Amino acid sequence: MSMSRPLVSVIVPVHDGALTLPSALGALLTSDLPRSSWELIVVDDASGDNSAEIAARFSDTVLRLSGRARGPAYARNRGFELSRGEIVVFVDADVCVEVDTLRRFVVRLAADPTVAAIVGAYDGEPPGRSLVTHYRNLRHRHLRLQSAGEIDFFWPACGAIRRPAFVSAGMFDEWHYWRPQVEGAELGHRVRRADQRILLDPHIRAKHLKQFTVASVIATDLRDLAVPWMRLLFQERAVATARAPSLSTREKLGTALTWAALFAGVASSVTAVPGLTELAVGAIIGMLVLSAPLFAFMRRARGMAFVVAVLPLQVLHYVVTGSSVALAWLLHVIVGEPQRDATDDALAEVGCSTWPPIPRRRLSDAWRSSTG
Amino acid sequence: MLGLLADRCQNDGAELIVVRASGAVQRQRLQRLFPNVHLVSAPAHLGLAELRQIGAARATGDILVVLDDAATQEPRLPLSDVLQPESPVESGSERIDLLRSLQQYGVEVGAPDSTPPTPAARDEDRPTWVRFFERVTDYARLRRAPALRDDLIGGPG
Repeated sequence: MSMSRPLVSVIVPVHDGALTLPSALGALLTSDLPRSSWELIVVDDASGDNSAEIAARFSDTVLRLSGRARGPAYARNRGFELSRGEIVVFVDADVCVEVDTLRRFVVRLAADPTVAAIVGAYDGEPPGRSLVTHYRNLRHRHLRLQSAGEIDFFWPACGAIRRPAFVSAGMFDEWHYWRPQVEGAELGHRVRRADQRILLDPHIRAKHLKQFTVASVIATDLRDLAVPWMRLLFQERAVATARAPSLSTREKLGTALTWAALFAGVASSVTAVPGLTELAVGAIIGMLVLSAPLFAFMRRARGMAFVVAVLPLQVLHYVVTGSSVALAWLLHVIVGEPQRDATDDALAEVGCSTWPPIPRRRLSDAWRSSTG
Repeated sequence: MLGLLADRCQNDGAELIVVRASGAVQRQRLQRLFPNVHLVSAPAHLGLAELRQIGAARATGDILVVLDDAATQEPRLPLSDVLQPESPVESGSERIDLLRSLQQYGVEVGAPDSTPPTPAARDEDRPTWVRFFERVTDYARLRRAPALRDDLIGGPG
């Protein structure tokens, strides 16, 4: 038995993930990176199911957090505190990595010492037949393929970061992100502010097991993705400059044209101003033309019938995105930083020492500058 | 290994659970040898994963370090520093030469992996119109350079 420090620590946070966890951990164990070179740490974020026991079947270390769930940012940080690897790979409990995913992360980081972190992309081939799920995964994959190279965010669903870079950036912001939200994007901004590079390599692939419905897409985007991210960008005044797949000029124009069509369509039905209908039709056509590369990608992957079927979802996506921008701006102006649970706030203020620890507010998080 | 672990766990206040298929006599003998170890008997037909799950179900601690007799990594003991909320996070005091470590593990660091990722690098991932215009420009280039064309597609003579 060789007693060595592992090269890589793979950290998987899980909350009530007994259904997908075996697949996710099983996929990790098929990795072609020699098993002795990496450790697998699963952090059970106060699950109500038997996630911890399932995790013990596959992993080297299982961390059971009791009490109430405090979110993946908190769980990943606790897992990191147990880890020993020079490279830390974060994988979600509903994500199946490919055989070469871990090796590609390590080889690329080894080949370029100037890169602090690397993230991959979903493979665009989710399980099941749900149209919404396939649309969302293909859309994700297309945007990632178009944005490969340097980016400003970290993707904790399947991403690797050097230990020193993670520590010096201040780890995940577990204070403001107590749900699976945009903690990876926020961490990425801090890594970039420290003049460290993050690469997106879409050829490092993973499969997303999560199934979406129209309702869950809208809820996820509004509550956990678009709105929190736009609030963060407003906070950092980085709406125009941040580099991310969903912030491309094409995406911004698509959102603007969809909302222009929506306003013109509504206005044409209540007023008699000439040309509004034509304006609405023109804006929709413009949006569809802008989406042509995405549709071409989807046609190659699933065929023309699929593209026709997802046209309403593309319109819905831009409607939700536009709503998110407006809502995020309102929240930014009215509320400011995301508020932590009052109990945590009180316990942290009196310096209560417990296990699991009270979520920590770090000096380097993005929200500190505005709140003093 | 069990003796080493039992000592360390006792020093660190950790419980040590051993799940194994063994008869009553053997179990009593082991218990006499290691009184601080929590021995759990399991049916002989169970695989390693099931044994681990049984052990996890019996564990009462917050941190489960799962080992088997083929363990290759040193368990993270003592754990006391982890339980201190204000403990500084280890930042990798001993920097590792990643390239050398990979070679030690027999992982090839090949040229394809070391090239920076480029947008839509794979042919099938690129839009059709991009590939079409590449064909057009390739063709135009070939028309301007007959010698190159002849080399590529076989010219007269």
